[in-house]
Amino acid sequence: MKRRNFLGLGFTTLAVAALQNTSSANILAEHPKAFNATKGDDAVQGIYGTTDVMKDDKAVLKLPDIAENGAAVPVTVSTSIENAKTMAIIIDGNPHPLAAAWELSEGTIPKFSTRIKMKKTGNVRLIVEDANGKLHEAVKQVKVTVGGCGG
Amino acid sequence: MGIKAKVKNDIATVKLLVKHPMKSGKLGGGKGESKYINHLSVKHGGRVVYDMYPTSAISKNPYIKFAFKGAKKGDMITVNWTDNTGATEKKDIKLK
Repeated sequence: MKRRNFLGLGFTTLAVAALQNTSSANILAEHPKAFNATKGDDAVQGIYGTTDVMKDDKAVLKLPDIAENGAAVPVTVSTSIENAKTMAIIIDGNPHPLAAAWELSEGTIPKFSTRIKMKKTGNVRLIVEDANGKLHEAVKQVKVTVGGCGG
Repeated sequence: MGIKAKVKNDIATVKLLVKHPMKSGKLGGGKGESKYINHLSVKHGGRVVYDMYPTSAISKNPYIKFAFKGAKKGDMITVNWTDNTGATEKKDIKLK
């Protein structure tokens, strides 16, 4: 593909993303470096411009202690913070630690479940950004018996 | 894309199962091409009720569960995703 076509495609994608989501920011478009980061703290810095976090019980991370299959580890993230702005899952042992980020909006209950890939045993972190831009963190170590970052 | 969406006391619970490889491209020394959903949003009326930026660290055929307030039976929601290659899928479903 020619470079110019490739760039055009990129802009089209961004434009479509912007149209889909006019009510709030676009984390991916605004903080692409965070998604390419290879260290967990760089990913947090990339999105939030700081790595200062409060370790309190306001960010809640539910994960198994042991994951037999790293290719599909069930996770539920939630927060008790009212009007929280964003949430992000950081998997420190993965090649690209930022696994997913969410923009929260009014009416959305900040409790999400999905399945993540984990390459190896390590910490999974949930970062919740409150309405004042302060970060709250939950950390949980998950033991992975078979890694799942292939594919 | 499979969607289940049920309303109880004005809260809609939505479960999604998206058919997608979610490839990181890391297999075989990083020579493979990546293909993963990088934006998935759900709209109810004109408002965004779910706005997720996944990466290839989300498992193949992503499962997603969330809930939102202010829904009633018969309302429509629209699920829309885009991947890093520009592919998209959009689906409307009525809340039960």
